[in-house]
Amino acid sequence: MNIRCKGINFSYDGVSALRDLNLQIQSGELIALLGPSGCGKTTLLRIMAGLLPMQQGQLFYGEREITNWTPQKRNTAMVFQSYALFPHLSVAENVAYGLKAKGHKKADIHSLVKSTLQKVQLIDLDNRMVQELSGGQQQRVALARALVLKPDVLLFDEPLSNLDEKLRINMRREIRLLQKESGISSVYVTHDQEEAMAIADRIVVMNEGRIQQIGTPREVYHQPKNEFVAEFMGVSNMIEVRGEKRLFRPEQIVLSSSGKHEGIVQWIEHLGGLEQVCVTTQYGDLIVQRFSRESLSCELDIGYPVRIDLLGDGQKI
Amino acid sequence: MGQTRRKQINTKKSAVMSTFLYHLWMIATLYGTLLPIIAVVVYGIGHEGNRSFTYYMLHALTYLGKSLMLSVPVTVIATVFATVLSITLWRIDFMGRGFSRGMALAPLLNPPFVGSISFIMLFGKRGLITHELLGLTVSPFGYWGVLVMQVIGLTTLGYLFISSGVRNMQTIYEEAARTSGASEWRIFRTVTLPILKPEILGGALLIFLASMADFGTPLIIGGPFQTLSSDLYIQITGLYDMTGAAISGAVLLMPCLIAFIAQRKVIKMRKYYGKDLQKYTLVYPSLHPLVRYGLIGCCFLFQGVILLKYGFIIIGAFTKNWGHDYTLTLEHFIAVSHREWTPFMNSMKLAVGVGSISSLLGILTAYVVHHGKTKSVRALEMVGTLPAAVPGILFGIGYLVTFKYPLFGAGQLYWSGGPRIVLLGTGLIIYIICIFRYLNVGLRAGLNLLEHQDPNIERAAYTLGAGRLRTLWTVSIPLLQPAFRIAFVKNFTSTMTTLGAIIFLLLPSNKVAVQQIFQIITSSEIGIAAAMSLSLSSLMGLMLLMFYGLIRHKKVYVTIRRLKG
Repeated sequence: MNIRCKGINFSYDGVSALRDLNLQIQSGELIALLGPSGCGKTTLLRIMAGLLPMQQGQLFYGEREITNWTPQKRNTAMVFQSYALFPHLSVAENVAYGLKAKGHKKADIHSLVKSTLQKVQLIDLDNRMVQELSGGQQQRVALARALVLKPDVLLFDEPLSNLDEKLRINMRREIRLLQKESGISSVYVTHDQEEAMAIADRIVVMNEGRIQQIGTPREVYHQPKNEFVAEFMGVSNMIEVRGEKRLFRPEQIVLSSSGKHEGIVQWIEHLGGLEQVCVTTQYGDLIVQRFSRESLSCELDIGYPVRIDLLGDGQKI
Repeated sequence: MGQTRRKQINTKKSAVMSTFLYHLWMIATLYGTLLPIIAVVVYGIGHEGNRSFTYYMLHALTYLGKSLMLSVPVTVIATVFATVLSITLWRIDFMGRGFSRGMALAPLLNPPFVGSISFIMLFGKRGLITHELLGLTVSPFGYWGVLVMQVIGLTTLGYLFISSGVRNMQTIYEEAARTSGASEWRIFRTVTLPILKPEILGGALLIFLASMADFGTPLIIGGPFQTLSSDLYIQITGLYDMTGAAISGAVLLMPCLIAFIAQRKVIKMRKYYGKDLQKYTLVYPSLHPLVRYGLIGCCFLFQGVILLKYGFIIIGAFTKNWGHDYTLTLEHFIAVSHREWTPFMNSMKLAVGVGSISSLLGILTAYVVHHGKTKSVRALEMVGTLPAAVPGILFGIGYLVTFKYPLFGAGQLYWSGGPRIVLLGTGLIIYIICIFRYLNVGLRAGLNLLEHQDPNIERAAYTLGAGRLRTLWTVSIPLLQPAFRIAFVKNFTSTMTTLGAIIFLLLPSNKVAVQQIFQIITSSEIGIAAAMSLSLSSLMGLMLLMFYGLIRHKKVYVTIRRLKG
């Protein structure tokens, strides 16, 4: 089901949180709302869920305008940051909750819950109380509770931010697979640009209540529309070439003994397979990336003189 | 070298000292809380009374039945009211919400039985409704009157407890249910109520204990209907039958202890809220108008009754002779002021003294309990909270039978020929009983705070080189201040309005205001009783304002400066 937001404005006690927001989401697409805290991304998600009343603007799910519908009436399902699993219910009861509320038959509920728990690999834990589960397992229950309803729209509110790094990466892959498999249009709120790029078909970068850019992960990374997006999506080197500001990502600058520009190493940061090297040049401090294995042939330390080359012309901002 | 040595000796000394103090306090707590309760039971079994043990037992069980017949429905009704009130006042936005919240707490400024004054004025022999309106000269005193008055009074108690749960609850579970498509009524039944279960059950048990302990209301308006607690009072003051009272007391203890144990279980129940979750607004986003106005209507109705209660106390205080002569007068206030202010002064001294000492000791006990992990420490916590379950009047009888004997009661074993009264005849015993009775308030407040406090704060002080005592004085105690303030205000108001525990221990020289009001009501001098309770409530209100000013003096100062321009 496609989603359309038209001219949405929202303010908390006079403080503006969303300003004239327009957005179209295609059927089956996974959209990430990305931005720093306070940018309005969670507000927009809660408006889509119906948890916040619309102040100004229109919202369409498919052809139907649902601007003033209650959350119950919209066929959405939400996965919360804190999971919000019902603490007094077991895993299976949590997953069955929405089905019961919607008046499904007992036998149907049982088989639907079972198949969904199988999908998230929790079938053996169906009788456990939710507090007995680990964070990752709780996240899966929350996911199952949303998926089992076969909603028109799936809403994710920073669902992975309470998990540790490794689990987060596994879970985001799993969410992506399940979403593609079910084909449910999804909106995914996050403040982590890496997560957004890994999971989303398109990314909506937001700041101060306004959309800064909408585009595929590649577009927002390599062709940011403004400096905010450039900065937010990753490390950015702004270099003035012929009177124009141009963006070079660290991987677009290379250290080379025959490089055109000279500089001095300022600091080095080891990231495992990669290294980031800050080089002071005539353009200012530039951050350069190289493979760690290159250090075997070319050992660097603070204060060493180096030469660099720029790959391509960079991106005009 | 020498310095290290001296430091070591100092540490050793301080360890010995703290162990000594700890055991001393342990013994004192046992002596002040557990022993009197045991003494009642022992006295009841061990002393020959005027009648047979079977007679006393049957008598007590009959009255226990009556008590339960009252307390069980009171608990159910007041708990429902308190829940409705908590949800209406904290989860629905309406005009006058702030005022209503204030009103809901107003009954705390009164002794529990003072509402009965208005009841007498309306339904008494010469009551406005019974006599003037219906022309009756009989009064419908009895079961229903007591039930209604207790429900009105105890709903506030339940509200205090349940509303704190409502205020701290996480609405995110409801949101999850809402996006899953559950109707609001279904959400209330299947999510909200289960999540509030610990608070609602805890509130219900508090109401039950308070209802079981209330002897004033049945005595004043119960007429032929008396409960186990009020019968205890009659047995001691009317019949001088200590053995009968002790046996009735032991019987009264049973349901209260069961409720106490149940309450401890409930408190340990998992509480479904934490500070780590996001907090969104508590107010219901959409509510059927019928439900909304129904709830607000209920709330206003309840507050109307409270206003009525206060209104009539005020009117009564300025009316010459209720039921006979309705001219306006100030004579009751003049009479109160002529009767000397000593009872008021005594009340204040007692309340401030107990408020500070009991809260401080309670919080220090909480500190010890929190940091000690041994069995004896857990026992200390249990014993410290026990008096919360024991009806005041029973606790008072416990002190009566324990400290009747010399050497703090120990004399009954070795020195039966010694002077009879030692501690009992002094003003000190009133302070001691109140301190131990309200120890649990500071203990609970302290433990609650410590549980939510980062233990690394104290460790940080240790790693920065501060010793144990220095850390206690410069870090731990300042951090415990909020708990002290809560406990102080609560203990101050409780002590000002308490009667049960101290009524048998008071001497003519240290009479307190509540006791005097109680005596005046029972002798039917409505005008003076109303004037006195009005004075007492105003005095308490003023004192609380003053404490608030002291605590928030900076804020108050800033506000005043701003007002001045």
